[in-house]
Amino acid sequence: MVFDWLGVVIFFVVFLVLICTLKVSFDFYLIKKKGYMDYALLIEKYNLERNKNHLNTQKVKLLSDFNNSILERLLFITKELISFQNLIFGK
Amino acid sequence: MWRLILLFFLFFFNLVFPQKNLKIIDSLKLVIESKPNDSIKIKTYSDLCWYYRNISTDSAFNYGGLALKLSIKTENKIGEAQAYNDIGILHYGLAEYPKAIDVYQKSLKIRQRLNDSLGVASLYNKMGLVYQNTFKMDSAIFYATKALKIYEAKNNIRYATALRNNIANIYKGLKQYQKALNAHLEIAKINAEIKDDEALVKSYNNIANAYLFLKDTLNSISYYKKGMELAEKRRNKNEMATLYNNYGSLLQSKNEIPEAIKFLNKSLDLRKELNDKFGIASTSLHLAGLNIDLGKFNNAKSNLKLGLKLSEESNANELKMDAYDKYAYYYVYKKNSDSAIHYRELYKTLKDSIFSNQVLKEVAEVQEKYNAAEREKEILSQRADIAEKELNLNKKNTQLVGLGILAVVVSLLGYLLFNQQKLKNRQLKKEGELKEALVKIETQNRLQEQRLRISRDLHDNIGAQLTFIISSIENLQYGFKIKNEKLTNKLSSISGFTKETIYELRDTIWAMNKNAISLEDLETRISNFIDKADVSSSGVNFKFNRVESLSKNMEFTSVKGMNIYRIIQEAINNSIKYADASKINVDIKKHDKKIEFCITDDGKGFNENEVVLSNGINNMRKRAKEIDASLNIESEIDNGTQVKIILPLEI
Repeated sequence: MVFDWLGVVIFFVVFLVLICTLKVSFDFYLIKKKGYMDYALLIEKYNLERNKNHLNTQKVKLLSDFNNSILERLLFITKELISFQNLIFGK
Repeated sequence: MWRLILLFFLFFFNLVFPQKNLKIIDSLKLVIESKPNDSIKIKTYSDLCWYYRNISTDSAFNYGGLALKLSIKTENKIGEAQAYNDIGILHYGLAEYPKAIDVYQKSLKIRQRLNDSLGVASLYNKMGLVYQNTFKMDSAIFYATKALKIYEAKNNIRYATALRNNIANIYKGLKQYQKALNAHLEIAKINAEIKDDEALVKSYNNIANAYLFLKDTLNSISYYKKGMELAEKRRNKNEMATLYNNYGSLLQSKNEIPEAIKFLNKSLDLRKELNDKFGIASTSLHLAGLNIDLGKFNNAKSNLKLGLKLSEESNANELKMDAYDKYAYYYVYKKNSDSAIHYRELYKTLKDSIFSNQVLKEVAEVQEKYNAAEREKEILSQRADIAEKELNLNKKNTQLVGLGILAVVVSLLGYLLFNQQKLKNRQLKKEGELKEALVKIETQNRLQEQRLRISRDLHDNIGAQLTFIISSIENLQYGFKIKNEKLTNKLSSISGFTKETIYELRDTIWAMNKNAISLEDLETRISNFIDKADVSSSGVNFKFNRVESLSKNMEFTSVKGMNIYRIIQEAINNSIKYADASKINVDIKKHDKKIEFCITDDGKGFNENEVVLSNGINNMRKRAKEIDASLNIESEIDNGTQVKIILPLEI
């Protein structure tokens, strides 16, 4: 191979582009790795929230049942108290 | 067949008995007339070309052309190469050196393809001779050396020696006597090794001549003597005559006249014996000169007479001129001025003629040398141009290779960048989706937590109000001492119901404060409930059993735990209220991957078909369905009731 100044410049550019390529390859690897890590963190957080949501849903359901029940009971007590009042006043 | 026999006969005849060329030509023509096959025809045309070369060049060219044409037509490569070779020899004979080189090159290419190394060597030798004749001595030595290498590789010593001789002559022509001497010494060594005495004699003669050119008389004499001794031993008269003549000349130059005459006479006798006219003329004239110097005019005259006669016969102008010159001297010594002037005139005329020819020859040689130098210069310039072009081409190639690599690397870089961007986008999209889902679920959780907080505050408030109701009722009961039984029962009923509501509230708060309810928690809760039931219901015997193998860490969700607890609570309450049971058992068991809660009483039982199911049982079924459990109620009149909750275990 015989090099003139243009040949030297071309091969120098080739060398630079090659270095860029290596850098991009390495960055590619890093981005991939970081992406996986970020995604894994988010997934973990999401799973925790979903679990929490599940528990809260259960509790809300429980609460909803209880609210229905206590409403009925309070109405019953009120009714009984009115009935007691009626008894006292001889109605 | 008869053609082959005839051909064989002719060849055999040619080999064994040397014939005149014309006779051979006639025989070869007979072969052609007999219409042999193409291969034999080509060989015969080639032979005709060879034998015609000294008789009729045109005929030789004609037959050479026929051989070439037929060879090309029949694709006979050997014949084609031979035809080119023969035509080259014809051109060489006519001093048409460029044409000779051209056809030799064609033949060379074919022979190289055919791996005919001896044929190639022969062509190199011939090309060397052409270059030698055109004064391109470097090319001549180059081709002669190439031929020599092949002959040496093939161990063909005879040809190799001849080529060395040729190379030595080229050096001699270049006046490089030392190199010529070295070559001759080497040849002599080889000849001595292969014991070729004939060739060795010639080598000694050449060595002696080379020493003489180098002005080394002692070595020259030594080699002449060696040569003469060997030639005499071998009885090689030809070489003996040459050596005596050369040695005589050497002695003459050393002024040893009698000895010189003796050797020259010996040479003359031998040449007479060999009928070598040129040699006889040369030696006679030599002797004539010496005899004139010694005053032996009679001997001189006879020598001159013989010398002039034979030089005329052999058309050797230089010898003839020498004879005229010596005749002139002879007549000067004899004081015969007319004859002296006559021979001087003859000498002058011949000299002018020879000189003129020689001048022309020398001019041609100089011209040839000049042309050769010009051609060499041109070739050098062309070579320089070619080298420069090659250099430029190499540079361009390097640039192209570089650009190619650059294109590949840039494409790779582009591809990587594109992929990188694609990966980034994909990751961002996935992260975005996940974040969106996360935000959604977080918002939902926050809302639920808010609802739970509000509920908790509300329950605290309700709890306090219910406690106030109970306290107020108890104050009414004990503060006013109410004697009306109806009123007292009513108050007790309200108080009991309110207490139950508070318990339910506490149970719910208990369940809500836990993320998960363990089996142990559930057991404790059931156990507390049974204890309370035991206190409030006299005459009922309660038993709570659990299998030890059940893990206490087993967990249920708050809904499941609460529903199981409520079903058990309802079942026990039913047994106490409606069954008149004296014994109530609560068992917790494990079957395969299922957990079983079983509430059994020994009460009066009921017929499921006849009894209208109460809200309690319906609630139990509803709760069991909510937690994916199966509820089995088995009851028999007077044989008690069994309620089973079977729940699949979550692994």
